[in-house]
Amino acid sequence: MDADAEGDVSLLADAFKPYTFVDAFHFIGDNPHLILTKIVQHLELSGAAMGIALLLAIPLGVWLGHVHRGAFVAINISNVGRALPSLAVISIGLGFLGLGFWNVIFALTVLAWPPMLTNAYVAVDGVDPDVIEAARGMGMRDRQILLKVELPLALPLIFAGIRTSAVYVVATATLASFVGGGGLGDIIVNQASYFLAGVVAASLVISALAFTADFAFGGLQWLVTPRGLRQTARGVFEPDVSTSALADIEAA
Amino acid sequence: MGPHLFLAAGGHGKVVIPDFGGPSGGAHGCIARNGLFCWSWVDEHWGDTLQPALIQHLYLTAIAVAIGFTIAFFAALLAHRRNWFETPFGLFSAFLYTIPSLALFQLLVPFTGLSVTTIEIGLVGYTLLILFRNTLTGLREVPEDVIEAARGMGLSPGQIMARVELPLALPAIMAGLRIATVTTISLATVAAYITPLGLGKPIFYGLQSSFHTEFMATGALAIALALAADVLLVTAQRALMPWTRMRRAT
Amino acid sequence: MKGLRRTIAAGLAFALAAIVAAAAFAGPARQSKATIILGTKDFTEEFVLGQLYKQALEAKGYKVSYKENIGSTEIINTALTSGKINAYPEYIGEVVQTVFHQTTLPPTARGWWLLGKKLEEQKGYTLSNPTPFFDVDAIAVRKADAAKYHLVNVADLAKVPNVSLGARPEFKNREEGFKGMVDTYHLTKIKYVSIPNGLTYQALDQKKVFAINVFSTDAPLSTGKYVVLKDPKLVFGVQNVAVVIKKSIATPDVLKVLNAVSAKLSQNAIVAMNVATQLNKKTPSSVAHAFLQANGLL
Repeated sequence: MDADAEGDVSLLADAFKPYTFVDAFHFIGDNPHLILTKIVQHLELSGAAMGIALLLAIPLGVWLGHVHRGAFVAINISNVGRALPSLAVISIGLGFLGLGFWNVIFALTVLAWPPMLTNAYVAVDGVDPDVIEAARGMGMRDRQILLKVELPLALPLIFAGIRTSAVYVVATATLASFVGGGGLGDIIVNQASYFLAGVVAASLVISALAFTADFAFGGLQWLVTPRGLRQTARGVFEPDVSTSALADIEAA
Repeated sequence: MGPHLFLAAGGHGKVVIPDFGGPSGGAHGCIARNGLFCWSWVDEHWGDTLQPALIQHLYLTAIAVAIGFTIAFFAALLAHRRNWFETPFGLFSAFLYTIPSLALFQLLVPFTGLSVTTIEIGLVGYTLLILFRNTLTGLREVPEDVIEAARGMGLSPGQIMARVELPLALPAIMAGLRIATVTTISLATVAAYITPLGLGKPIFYGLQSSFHTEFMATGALAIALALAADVLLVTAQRALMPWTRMRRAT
Repeated sequence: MKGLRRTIAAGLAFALAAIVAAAAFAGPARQSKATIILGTKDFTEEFVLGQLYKQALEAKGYKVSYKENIGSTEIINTALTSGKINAYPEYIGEVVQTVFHQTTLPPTARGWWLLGKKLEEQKGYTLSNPTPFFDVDAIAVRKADAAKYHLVNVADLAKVPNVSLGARPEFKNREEGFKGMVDTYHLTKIKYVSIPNGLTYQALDQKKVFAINVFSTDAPLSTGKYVVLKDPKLVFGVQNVAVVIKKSIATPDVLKVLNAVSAKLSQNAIVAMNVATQLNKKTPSSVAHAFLQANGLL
């Protein structure tokens, strides 16, 4: 570092100093309106994408699992989805749909959809055949089996997929700023105006949102797991990466 | 007052403005219309733009995964032997993983500059969590009785690790490598925000100049690269461990 | 334990190899002993300027380490003062207002340049001679809207209900940008929409915003589809270009090369180069090369 650089606080965009982390909290305190507006935008993007992806993925995955068809595609689609470089997908969304909200929603939906489809399929497809036999033996019809037997047993894994997607979408929505989509990424790409304190602040908020989503869906996952199948509480608190990692070993 | 145009000191020589040529493909061609995907541009600039970016990207990814794997592997070995190590390293790598990549790269610049080092530190950081967790899980899932049997056969701990534990942990490790690789390919595109390297460079340049083909073509190339890497690693995984294919429930 | 030790040794060797490979890959940039580390900001005109100065210096035997696309004024200035680069092409108003926050401003353009030079010299840098051309921030609207609401000056935007301005993020808080514009022309009801640099014209065309922040030498402005509003109070400053360069490498010879290039950058020249790069998608490197060659600077 140059000698002239030391102490040049009069110039803008200060270099990272140890108290930048503390400054980040000051930043949040000093700019509540900005942070709040950006959080709302960020959640709008994430929520809309998750909502659409949910509607597209879950019914399809459940149905495919129920009829035990499309195994190859359903299982591997999540690998394909996870491999997609998010910036590339967002840029391509821009090309097709122009600037703004909808092109980001399109890209985020494309990225959110695969893990949920795979999990829904594997969850329903993997229900113990003996249980289904027993249900059939009791006189249940096809649709009843789906709704009263397969779905309840599949819910935990379905929620695990939703949880994985949710964290991924919240983190990736940061890139929306490159295509005019808004959200907390606007602060991160604007170090010029908000300095590193702002960048750190926005990152902390995004991390907090991601953790909250993980925690919330983890809690839901735990709630819908039939008591007998509940393992330790660890599944709720672990970051989503390990969950998908283990699911991957199975699906590979 | 108005902004006075002023001639620079030191001479009034005549300014020659050469003809830079019209857009490739003519005034009504694909480039002039800023079409979504102009093959002519891809053709013309494969050698000077796309291919160098692709090769840089491969380097960035390979180095990050290699270093990340090395660190995570030995961390997992240590955590396997000394359980207390798992929590601090796990928390550390999880913490790194949750920092948005855009922010992490910017935070590193004051320390390591606008350089490959900055990119690599960021990318390595992101691989640690998945590689650590998968390797550790893989090692832990080796059944106790198998290790007992090996011990009973007189194998040393080192031999058990090399000949029993690691091979059995290999599926989990490979799965982790696969996820880490495609994640790194994706994150390396974002790294170009800091310094124009890799496939992110044409993407950002295309976005900055609103030049559709540049970012569409590069985006497609990045996607193709990631998918190819994924398929390659799956194939390698299956080739090395044919027994994992029989694991599926149905 | 011999097996484990062997494994660990192998692992460390592997790690060492990987790190050496990384250093080797990163190596060439460091080993070249670049005398001049030239950076540019994050838009096409700066890429052209960077290439012009880079190629001219290289033609005269200097080694140039080129760091393109660093970021806005605030970011690239930090790169300069922290030693990551030691030169970059800058707009004089950005030096005076954005970097040094001067509020008392000289009455002539040459005065701005002298002031900028003095301020930089106090920090250990200097400015090369200014270019004939200038490129100021400006506000543009669609031609139809300009006709409909009779828009000539920036102040006229007050006449329009629901005005949104699309601009790059760093423009928002600047006195010589959005903030100054709102204060000076009393545009209290304008809404700010953060749009990345290259997407502003697209946003305007798609009617996502009513007006956008543009650069006065942008190529799309020559198509006639837009009207640029006047800024009589000079909120956006004097913006001829000069190279900010560290005094220790700004030898008379280096300055001579830079000044020779700058002297040739007339308004027409820069607009022609912008048309070539922004509209016709020629690479900045090839356009700079052609220009330098035609003017005997290579």
